[in-house]
Parts: sequence; structure tokens; C-alpha cells
Amino acid sequence: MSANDILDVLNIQRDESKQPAKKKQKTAVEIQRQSGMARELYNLIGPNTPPVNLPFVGANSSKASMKMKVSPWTKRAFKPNKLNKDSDEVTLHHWVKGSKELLEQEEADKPYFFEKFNVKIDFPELVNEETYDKYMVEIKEREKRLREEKKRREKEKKEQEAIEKSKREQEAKEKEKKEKEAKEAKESKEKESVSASGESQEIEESAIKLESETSNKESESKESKTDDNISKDKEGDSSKESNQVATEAKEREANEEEPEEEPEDWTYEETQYLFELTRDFELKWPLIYDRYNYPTKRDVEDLKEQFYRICIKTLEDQPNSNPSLIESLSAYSKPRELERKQYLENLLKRTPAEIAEEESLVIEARRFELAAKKMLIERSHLLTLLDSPQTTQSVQQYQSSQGLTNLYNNLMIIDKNQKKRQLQQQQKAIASGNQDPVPPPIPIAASSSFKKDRSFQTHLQQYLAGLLKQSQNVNPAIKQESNAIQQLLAKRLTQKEEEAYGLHFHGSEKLNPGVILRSTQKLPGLQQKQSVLKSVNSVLQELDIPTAGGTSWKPVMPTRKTMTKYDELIRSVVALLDLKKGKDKLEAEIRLIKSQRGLQ
Amino acid sequence: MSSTANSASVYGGDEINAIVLDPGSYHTRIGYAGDDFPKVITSSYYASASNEPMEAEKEDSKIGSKSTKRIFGDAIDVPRSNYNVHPILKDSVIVDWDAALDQYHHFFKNVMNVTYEEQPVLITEPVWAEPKYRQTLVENFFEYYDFPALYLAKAPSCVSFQQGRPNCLVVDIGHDSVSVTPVIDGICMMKNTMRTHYAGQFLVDQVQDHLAKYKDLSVEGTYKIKSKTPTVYPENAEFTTRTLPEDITASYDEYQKSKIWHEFRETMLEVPERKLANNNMQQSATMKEFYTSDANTRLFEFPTGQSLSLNYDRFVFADSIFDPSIYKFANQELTSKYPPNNGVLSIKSKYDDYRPLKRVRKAESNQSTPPPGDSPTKPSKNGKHEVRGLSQLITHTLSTIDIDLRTSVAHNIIVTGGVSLVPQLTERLYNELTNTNPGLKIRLHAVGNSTERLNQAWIGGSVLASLGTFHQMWVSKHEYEEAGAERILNQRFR
Amino acid sequence: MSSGSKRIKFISISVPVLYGNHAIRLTPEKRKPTTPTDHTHEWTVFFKPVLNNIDLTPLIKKVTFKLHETYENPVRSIEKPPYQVTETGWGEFEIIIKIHFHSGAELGVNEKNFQIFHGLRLHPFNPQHPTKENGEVHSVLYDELVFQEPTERVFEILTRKPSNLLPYKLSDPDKRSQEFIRTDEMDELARLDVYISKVREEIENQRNQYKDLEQEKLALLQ
Repeated sequence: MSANDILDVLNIQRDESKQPAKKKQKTAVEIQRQSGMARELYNLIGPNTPPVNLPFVGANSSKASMKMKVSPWTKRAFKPNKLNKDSDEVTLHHWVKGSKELLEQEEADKPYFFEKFNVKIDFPELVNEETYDKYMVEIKEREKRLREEKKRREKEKKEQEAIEKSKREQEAKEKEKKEKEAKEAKESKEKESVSASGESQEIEESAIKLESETSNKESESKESKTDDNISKDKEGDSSKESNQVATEAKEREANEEEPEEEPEDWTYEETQYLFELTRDFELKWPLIYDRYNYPTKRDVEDLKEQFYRICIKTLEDQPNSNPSLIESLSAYSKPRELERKQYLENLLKRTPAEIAEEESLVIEARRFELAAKKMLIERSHLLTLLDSPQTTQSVQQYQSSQGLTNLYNNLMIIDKNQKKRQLQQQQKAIASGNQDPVPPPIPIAASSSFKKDRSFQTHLQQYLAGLLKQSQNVNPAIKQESNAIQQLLAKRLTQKEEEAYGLHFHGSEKLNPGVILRSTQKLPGLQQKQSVLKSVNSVLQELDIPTAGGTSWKPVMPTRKTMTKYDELIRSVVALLDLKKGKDKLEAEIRLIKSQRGLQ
Repeated sequence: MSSTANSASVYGGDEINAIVLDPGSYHTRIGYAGDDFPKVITSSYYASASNEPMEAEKEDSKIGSKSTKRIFGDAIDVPRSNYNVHPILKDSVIVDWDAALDQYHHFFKNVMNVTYEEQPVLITEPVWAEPKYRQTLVENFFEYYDFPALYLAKAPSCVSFQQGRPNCLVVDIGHDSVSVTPVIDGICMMKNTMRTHYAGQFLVDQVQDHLAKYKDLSVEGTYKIKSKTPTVYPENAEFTTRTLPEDITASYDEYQKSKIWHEFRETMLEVPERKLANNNMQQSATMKEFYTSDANTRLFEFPTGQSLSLNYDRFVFADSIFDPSIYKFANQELTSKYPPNNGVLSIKSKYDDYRPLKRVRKAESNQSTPPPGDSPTKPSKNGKHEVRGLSQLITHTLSTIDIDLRTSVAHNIIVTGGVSLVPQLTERLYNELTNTNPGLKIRLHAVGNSTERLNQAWIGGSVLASLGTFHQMWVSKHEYEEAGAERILNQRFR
Repeated sequence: MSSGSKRIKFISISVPVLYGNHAIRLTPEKRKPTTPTDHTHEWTVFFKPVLNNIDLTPLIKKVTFKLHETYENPVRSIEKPPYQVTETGWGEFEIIIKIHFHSGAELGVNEKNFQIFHGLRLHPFNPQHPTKENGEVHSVLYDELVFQEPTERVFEILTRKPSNLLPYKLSDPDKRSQEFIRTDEMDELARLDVYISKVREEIENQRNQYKDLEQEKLALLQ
């Protein structure tokens, strides 16, 4: 509320003529000056709402742009095919930015902008007819050689196959015979007529089968058909559906009626036609094949073969040809290409069920891979576990407490230095963990006297002494106070005596403060799943170790020593279990591999 | 609009104001290249005075003086006495040359004001256009108009350009024919193209045939009706007729009626989810029940104001696109109009003359990769044509394509043409193709915009003719005469 | 700190204890008029350090024995040693022996109360053991109370006297089932050693097999 409002409310007249008028004037003038808007538009907005973001526009910018000279566009004729001299020039018209005069200056013989995109593919020209004939003869000879070699190899293969086949046939016949006999014996009384007709059919079928097989052999000599036939053979063998075999045999007969002679020779004219098309369609083979209308029938593979072999020859005769190009060209093999396409065809012909099965197999395989990887890791863990030092000596000598003490002391001497280092680290850790802002304690090991003094102390005592010293460092006041630790240290106990007190130094082991029963002590070996413990128990039973039945077998007298031993036992059993598991897996793997090998 | 180097490199276009002409069986589209829509979409029919002798007309049209005798565009619809309506095209191929040239001239000159000397023309043609036809086309255009250059583009190629997919399978479900054409690198594969006539006209004939069964249904062309009162069949129609000029020709009336059938076809048909004719009787029965339900009933109002409600039958019509044998014509004439067709096209070439026909077939069937189930399609063996519905047609085409291209083509199936707008058609097609080709990943591309789908070939032609790189492809009259029709037709217009 | 409640890390100190029960069949002359007629046994449940000279009273405030609910006043609280309860009864049940430590920070014990479960035994459970004529049954279990990270106070109390000096001989040859001696521990250790060596043998055995199998697999894969 302004003062004016209050005065209004109170109905107090005020001398209005002076101040307010001044203000109004001022604002009005200011705003008008600020905005570059048209007055009419400004009035619409009103004086109270200043425009939020009024970009400064030059007072008459739009007018200025209107006054600017229009950039000229010229409709020009152009010839899109300037480079290609032999083709007739078409004149087209398009609009170009720039004045007529300027463009005419620029003109000259500038080629059409898009003409550079019109690229032709580069491949060798077809040679003249003479060289072509020479080439074809050479090619023929080479191919003949190859074919003969192949034939020879195939013959050998065929012979082998024939031997195998005859064996198989014999087997099959014998089997059939046996079956028949059995059948006859069985059915002779009741269904004589029925079985007789069935058998005769069977015989017929087998006859057809034989026929088809012999026809197979004949046709195999034909190179171009071999692949196909072999695959068909396989089909026929695997699925002994006699009907199918019969129809196949029929088909084959039909095929043999018009003997498939050598594909018609490539004449020079046809090759010329091929090269022409190849140039026109820029080596796009599906299109070349699509537009190939020559009286001889050719497959797209035939076209490629002819084109490539002529190209190879031509390139070889050229002085500076690229050997890698020739090599890549000669890599083309028609039979292999046909085979590849056949495979692809089969791949696409799969039924949805097959596809689904395949997918699930892939997933399964991936799972196996993962499992195998996991198992490898596990196995390596296990091996490291196994390679840890084993006791070679008899444990007999450690069975008395005396022996154990000896062992313990021996071990102590061995890794004393190591432990000491650990100890120091621990102390440092303790010191740093302390909340009191005190200067860092003097490293205990730093004073040589300390080392000397404590060298005969037990582990525990060293630790306690360290502890004591530290606390004294922290708070010198305690020094005078009689302390249990001090008292204990004063006693200079031996290892054995410490035991008598039930004292034990755990080293770096983590302890949960509090009271527990020894029998329920949480030892590392006992931190196992219930199921594992169960199998541990069954293993123990297998080894004739009395477990008193239940899963919670524990030493009768759970002292620290017995519990440690017990823990060791459990741990070794767990290791045994792991090993057994690994062994089982390995066995299964071997079985799998064997079965796979067996199948192949 | 600029042809400067900078902008051109961005979009590769160069506007030369080329004309794009896309003659279709039902509609003809004409416009400027670079536009996104044809300037003229007109009926592929014309009207002419019936008493005029045809011979005289032909001569006249060559000169072009009597062009007024023919009536084009919407003016056909005006009832006149003794004026016959004729189709210009059949199967996307011009049959009435004089009328065609006259019509194009009418639109070029009167509607679009074309400067012949400066503007080349791109004409779309179907894949099955024969060399002789193409020759006539080119010759007529060079002779009749003064275009500096022209280009013949195959309609599927144009569609592939419109979609920007160089490798695709164009499925054009048009008025006269259904065609399936593989396009590789923007070029049509002629040998693999299939065509049947189970298209729009087939459906229209079915509709007509079926509605003839409704005895009290009065079907009159819209031009006759003055006023009407809505009624629902089997009530009789209530309407008053207009006074018309005498001697309205039968062909005019037929043309007007065909418009009704056409509208009926466009509005009423819907493709059922599955094949209706089924070996399983029970299943067919439940399907019939489902499609007869109220939810699937639609009303169609004829110009007479009479409405007809249809349910199951409208699905049967649409199903015939997929299963042409489902609808049995009552009219014997129509049955013979659509003989069983398996869609195999034989495209003639110059070498056809000196080779026996048997050989041709051999070459097709003994391909390197014999398509699965090819043998029953050989008509000579079975002695009976197999009928191929839309999805069988596509599946068969796919199986004949080179195995290396098949996957990419199957992934780019473009569905176009007016009849493809029948509701649920693409869904059904997708399901059937996926089921019959489990090994292939099928993807259908159908433009969502219905008018765009109707004019897809024209738009593609427009794209093509405005490309800077395309301008080297134009063929001038001079070049045509020099190189000869055969070479130009095969090598330049590919 | 002066109260000794600070814990000493990495140290544990243990006190061997015995707990369990003795039971003897009730003879008619032993029956009191108050004894219910169906009670067949007299039993004593107890908790004590193994060595009698160990005094746990500075640590233990009291020991409660929670009997079966059918007993009158089932929770018996014993504040001074001997911590034991004698009752008569006819059935076996689980007795919860709860050790209450002195609470209060000033005493510095600061341990939580601790429970031991003991199944009361009235009948001999090992058929191999010769049953005594008077039906005497002893179910005595050895265990150790382990003070992990004891407070300084506890440490002080427990280091006053060695508590783990188990005797090497039974105080009475008849008390075989009531006492535990050092030799028992040794026997146990020896037994465990035998078991461990058994398991080790088996591990060695399995390991050899494993290695053989691995060889076989490698051979197969090549």
C-alpha cells in the first residue's frame, strides 16, 4: 500500500496537482523511448507491462532489406553430358544464381556439376576373336586336366564307397532276412495273406532302392552333378522312407533321359554380349543375369565364370597387371559357389520349429560355455589348494602335548620375523585408530633394546607388552597403576603356562567380543552351508569315522586344541568334496567328448 | 531451387522442370518433377461422341485439330447425349494411343502450360511393357510432342526411389493388376516379376456380381438422382430422377456405375485376420460367426439413398486378394474373365523369336537354386494353373530371387497401390509371409499417407527426375534415332 | 579405563567348565511325602568350573536354571556356587542354564548373559556303557567358556589363577563319566589326527584320479 492508497481509504484529499503528475510524465516518456515498437502495438500492450524481451531491431530494418538489390537468378540452358562426347547432347534448363553477364563470363567449358558422379566401372576390354579362341582352348585344356584329376580322385573315393556300400547292403539284407524270418514265424498262422503281401511290397521297395543306388553310381561320374547327388544320397540313406527313395529314383531317371552334356560352349558372340551387359550393368550380377537373353541357357554362376576366366587371361597377357587382382579373380569357383548357395538355401528352408530349436541350442551352448569357464576357474582354485604343502611326516610325534609344543615353537622361530612385522603393522593400525590426538608412538621395534628384551617372550607377552607400553605412552598416568597385564607379564609365563590360564593370542584373526562356548566357536571350516556340512558328514561316515549319526558331531571335549583339529578335519573333508565334485565334472566332460567323438 | 555447388552437394537435386507422367489403369498422374504431389490426377478414361467414325478420329488426332471431340478429366462425368466413355489403359499399358496422346496434350498444354522445348518428360511404365509397346510409346512421344528428351522409368524403380530403398520388393496392388517386382540397385528384375489380375477390378467385379443377387437393390449413377430419401434394404429405394439429355450411352452409365462399385470397394472391404476358407469346418464356422457379428457390419448408402448392410461378405471380397478362389462368380462371364493365374510373366526379348518356348521355361525353372515347391507351378506338368494369392505370389517371387539378395529384399518389401489401402491388408500380409518364410526376416513398408500411397510411383518419378545425377540419363530424339530403338530401350531405359 | 572395561584385542581367554546332570532312580526310602508318586528319578542339574578352586563369583552374578513349565517356580535362580538344582521327576526335557554376568560398567565385566542348553538325561543313552544297578545316570559335558577380547577386568580376574590345569587322573575311577582329564583331550586329538590322515589319504587318492582324468581329457582333445 502506498501512501496515496491510505489517503484514499481515509478519504483525505490531497494536493494532487504536484507530485504524482510529475511521476506519470516521467514514466511515459521513458517507455516510449525504450521500445522500438510501432505506437499502435505499444498501446495494445499498455504502459503497465513492459515487454519482456524486446529485441532491438533497427527502426527500418525490414524496409532496408526490401531496398536491397535482389540477387539475380538466371534461367540457363546446360548440357548434362559434356564429357561424354559420343552421346548426343541434350539441352536442359535450370535456374542458376547470378546475373546473366556474370554467368556468361564464368561459362567457358565448365562441365556439368553432377557429371563427375557419372563414373564408369573399369575392367578389361574383350579381346579380339582370335585371342579369344586361343584363350578358350587354353582354358578348356586346363579345366580338362583339373577334371580328370578330380575324376581320378573321385573314382578312388567311389570305389571305397562302393565297398562300404556293398557291406552295408549285405548287412541290411541280412537284417531284413532275419526280421522276415522272425515275422514269418510269428505271423504265419494268423495273418498269412496279409504278411505275404506286405513282404512282397518290401521286396519291391528294396529292389527300387538298389536300382536307385546303381543309378547313383552312374551319375556320379558327372562332375557337375556330384555334389547334388551326394547330398541326395545322404538324404536317401538317412531317411529310409522307401517312398521317398522311389520318387527320387524316378526323378533321377527323368534327369538321365536327357543326358546332361557339357554346357554349351561360349561363342565369341555370346561372350561379347556378356561383356556388353556387364559394362551396362556395372558388374551387378543379379541384374546381368536378369537381362541376359541369349538363346543358350546360362546360370548366373556360368556368366561369372566365363567373365572371370576371360578377364584373368586378358590381365595375364597385359604387361603391368596386378597379380593380386588376378589371384582374387581366380579364386572364383563355380561348384563351390553353387554349394554355398545350396547351403544358404537350406538354411532359409528351416521350419519355425527348427529355428526355435537352433536358437535354444545356441542359448544352451552359451550356458555351457559359461559353466565351462566357471569350472576352469574353480579348478584352478582347487589346484592351488592341492598344491599347498602337505604334511609328509608322521603325525605321531605331535600327538603328545610335548611334541605339539615343540612343533609350535619351531614354527614360531621360523616365522618370527614375519609375525613381528605383522605385529608392528597392527600396532600402527591400532595407534591410528585411536581417537586421542597424540603424537605418533615411537615405533616399538625401533629401539634395539626392546627387541632384545622380548626375544624370549611368548607371542602373547610381546603383544601385551606392546599394548601396555602403548597405553602408557598414551596416558603416562596409568604407569603407576598396577595392571593385570603388568602382573601377568611379571610372571613371565611359558607357553604351557599360558595355556593353563586359557590365554590365547589370536594374531590378526578377527574376534567378536563376548562370551561364547568353545563348542560353538565359529571356526573357518565350520562356516559352511548346512547342506555342505551334511555331505561332509556323509563323507566322514564313508570313511568309517564315527559321527554319532547327526550332522552336529563335535568333539566330546571341545578344548581349543581339539576344536582346531576338528576344524582342520572338516576343512580337509570340504577340500575332498570339492575335489570329488571336480572329478565328477571332469568325468562327465570326458564322457561327453567321447560320445561326440563316437558320433563323428 | 538452387543449382549452385554448395546446396547441390547437400541434396543432390537440380530442378529442370521435367514433366513426370504416370499413367495408371484407373488414374493418370501428371506433374512437375521436384514437386511432392502430382499437379493433375485424372481418370484414365475419356468420353467421345459415339456417332463419329473411329477412323476419322484417328487421323484427326494425329493433327490435333479435333482434340475438342474428346473429353477428359472431370468433364467426363457430365451427362451428354451420344457420348461414349472409353478406357485409355489396360494393365497400366496404353491401349488407345490416340486418346492417350490427346489426353496428355490436353493436360500438358491446357492445364500445365508446358513449354515442350525446354522440359523433358519422364514416363513410368510397368515391368511387363513389351518392347513393341515401348517403342511405340517413345516414337509417339517424340513425334507428337516436342520434348527435348524423355526417359522411361519402370514403376517399381520409381517406388524404390520414393522410399529410398535401392534393394527392395515392390508389391503393387493396383486397379488392374497385382505385381511383385524385386528391385536391385534401383533396377527392376524382369525375370522375377510376377503379376496377377486379382486386384482392384477383380474386387469390383466381385462386388458387382454379388450385389446383383439383391433383387430389389436399385443401383443408379449419381448423375440421375435429383433427390432421395434414406431407406435401408430390403426397403425399396425412394428417389426422384433428374431430367437428362437423351441418348445417354450405355458405356457412360456403366462408367458412372463403376464409380459406385469402386467407392463400395474402397469403403466396405476389410481383410479378415485369417484365411476364411478352411479345411476345418468348425473353424470356418466360428470365423463366419465372428465376421457376421454386429461389430463387423457396415452400411453402404447407394446414390439412390438406399442403404445395404453387409458383414461376412465384405470380408470374403477382401480375402479373395489372398485366396482368389474363395469367391465364386455367379456370372459365368466373369469367371472366364479371371482364369486361374499363377502370376508368371514371360517378358519378350529380341531373342525370343529364335528359340522355342519350351527352352524359355526350362531356363526359368532350372535355375541354379531351384526354388522350393517350384515344380507344381509349372503349368504344363499339372495341366492346370495354380492360383496364387497375394502372399503366395510374394513368397514365390522371393524364392526365385538369388539367395544372396533374398534376405535384404525380404527385409524391404514395399506395399503400394490403391487396393493395399484395404484395412488390415498389411497386417494379414505380414503374418502370412512370416509364417510361410520362417527363415527370412520379413519387413513391410507401407506409406501411412493414403494419397501418397496412391501416387507413390509418380512421387518416385518426381524424385528421380529432379536429381542432378539423373540428368545424364535423358535420351534425346536424336540419340534415339541414332542408336536405334532396341539399344536405347534395353540399355538406356533399364 | 580405570574400571577396566576396555577390551583387549586379539586375545581370548577360556575357562573350562562342566555342566550337565546326575540322575538316580528314586528308591522308596528316598521318597519324601511331598514327592509326587509318578516321579521316578531324582536328578541334579549343575554348572561349574572344571577346577574346584576356581572362583567365578567375581564374574558371575547368578545362574538360573529354567526347568520344565510343569515344575513349580520353573526358573530357579542360584546366586552362589554350587550352581545346581536338585529335583525329582519322571521325564527328560531341555533345561536352559543361563549365566548372568555382573552387569554395570563400574565392575568392568560388561558381558552379555549367556545360555547353555542341556537336555536332561534320566536314562542311560549309550547302550554300550554298563548300566549301574542303582540306575545312576551321568550326563556331564565338557566345554569352555571363551571370553573373546576380554575386558581388562575380566582378564585380570581370570589370570589370577590358572583355570585350565586339567588333572591327568580321575579323582575316582568310578567317576569316568563325570570327569574330564587331560588324557581325554590327548586321546581326542589322536583320534582326530587319525581321521585327518584318513581324509588326507583319500584326498591324495582322489587327486591322483583327478590328474589322470585330466590327462585323459587332454589326450581326447588333441
